[in-house]
Amino acid sequence: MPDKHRYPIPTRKYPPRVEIPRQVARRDLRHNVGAMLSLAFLLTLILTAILAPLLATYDPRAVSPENRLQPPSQEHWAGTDLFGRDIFSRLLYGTRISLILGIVAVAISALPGTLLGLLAGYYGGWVDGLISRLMDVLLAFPGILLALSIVALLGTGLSNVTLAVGIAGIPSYTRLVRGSVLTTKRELYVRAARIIGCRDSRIMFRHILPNVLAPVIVLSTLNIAWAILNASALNFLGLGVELGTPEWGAMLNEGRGYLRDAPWASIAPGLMLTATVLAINLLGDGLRDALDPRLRA
Amino acid sequence: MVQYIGKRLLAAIPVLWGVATLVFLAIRLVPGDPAEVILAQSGGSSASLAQLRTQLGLDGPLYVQYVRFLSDALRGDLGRSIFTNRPVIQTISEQLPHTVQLALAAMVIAIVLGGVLGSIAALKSGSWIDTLCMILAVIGVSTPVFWSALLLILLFTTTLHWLPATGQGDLRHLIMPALVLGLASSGTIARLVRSSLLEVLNQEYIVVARSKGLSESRVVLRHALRNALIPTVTVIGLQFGFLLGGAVVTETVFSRQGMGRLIVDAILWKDFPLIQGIVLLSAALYTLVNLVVDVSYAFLDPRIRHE
Repeated sequence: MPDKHRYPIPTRKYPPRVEIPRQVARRDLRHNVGAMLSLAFLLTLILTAILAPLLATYDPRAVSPENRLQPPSQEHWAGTDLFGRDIFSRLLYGTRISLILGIVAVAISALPGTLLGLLAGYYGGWVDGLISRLMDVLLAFPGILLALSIVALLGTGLSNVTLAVGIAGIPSYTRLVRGSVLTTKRELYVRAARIIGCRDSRIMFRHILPNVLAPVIVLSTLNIAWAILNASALNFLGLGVELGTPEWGAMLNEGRGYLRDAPWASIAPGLMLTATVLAINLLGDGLRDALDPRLRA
Repeated sequence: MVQYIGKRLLAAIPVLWGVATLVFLAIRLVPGDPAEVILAQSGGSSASLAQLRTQLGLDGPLYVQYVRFLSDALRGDLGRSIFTNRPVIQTISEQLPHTVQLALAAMVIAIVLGGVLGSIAALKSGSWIDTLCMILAVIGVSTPVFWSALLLILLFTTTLHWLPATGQGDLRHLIMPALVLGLASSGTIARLVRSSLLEVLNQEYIVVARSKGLSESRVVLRHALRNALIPTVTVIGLQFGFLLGGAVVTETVFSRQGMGRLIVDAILWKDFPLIQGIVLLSAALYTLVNLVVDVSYAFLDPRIRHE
């Protein structure tokens, strides 16, 4: 006769604590030092962008030939450029342009990209074939060449650069969402929704979309960094903002002309750009690890 | 294997056709007549409008233009540049080798640096060395190419007088541009090598290799790294696209000749046939590189071609 007490009897008094995934994600993110520091930096940056007119010590566009190429000092914390403009004030205003540009470009990518991914994944068949082939074609353009081609067609300028970088980001969303929808649409709750007679649009937007949003949020965070980098590259090349606009890429382009005499004019905007992109990337990595560990590289 | 290559080649054809169609439609569907835009910029007379339209292939019904465009492109005729009046294909073939040279040199730097950084991080996983390597990798990914280029010029040209800042010719002219592009790309490769090596190090054959009494260096170099590097091959195709894009900025900063600088100039001059040609050929080249990468991946990992 088998021994009744061969296996230990559970002695736990309370049932095991079930953690809600959202709580786990929040805890994971809070324990990620790099992501938290980045979040603090980015919040400060957003505040700086909002309060730029109050914080700026000079008018960012005010030309002052007698103060040209001044090194960093008490009057001009980051020095002055070739036209005697205060670089610190220009950096503050540049924060506005870069952040708005990054967020708007990502909105331009994420909204149509997610919608196309939803349609392709949900309907499959010819809809999927058509959308996927179109995305294959867009992905055949290497690097920032797609954004460059769009600027070539629409013309230069900040809004066209933002639109170009936004359009170039669409395929990454479509591919990601399509893949997630293909898995999610087989779930029991989606089948149940269909059986009780929900319309396709309701199933897509109320039942599937909320469940594929986590990777979209992660991608959007990382794409803000990507958009800021690419847009500033186009501005650096002289294809974006008008001459004299306090944008970091354009400031670097102006600064390289007198790199030997005034290196601060190139170092400061580059440092701001790198720190911002680095913070967004670290926060994006932290969000990815917390929300969707499958995406971890 | 031949069947696999054939399948991949067939899959690339519709993509290339799609790229050509998109380029064709984009120029014609965007508001504003390109011929008028060019004339307005150069201040030409309205009499030359019809002539310019013919040169741009914008005369006749749309389907006639499309058939002519595709047949010309297939024969390698991409039209003539508006400003130099030279065949586009000739201009591109002069510039392409410079960019390929830069991209290949950068790729070598990226693979070596990324491979070493990623391997060290994986072997010291969880330690401060791992954290340091990954922080360096994220910094590499986050630093704009045009800023690191200016910093290198400041260090190696302005301060140390070791390397020339502009121009091309010998190896000394290639070092800085290749380093700038390679550094930017190495971050991505380091992250991939780390995760790939960590996965391989948990495999049973590594346990077997260790239990046979092999030295740690032999286990890592002969057994783990060889397998861990296979997935890295796939990212090389994507990185090649990044390098082609990065060349646009790098060639401008270092005043080098190449496709990148050519397209920036073409955009500023509104030289539509040249832009069209560069975009078409870059996309074709990128598709071809990815095809070669896919095939070599299947060659290295037989599981792929049997899927």
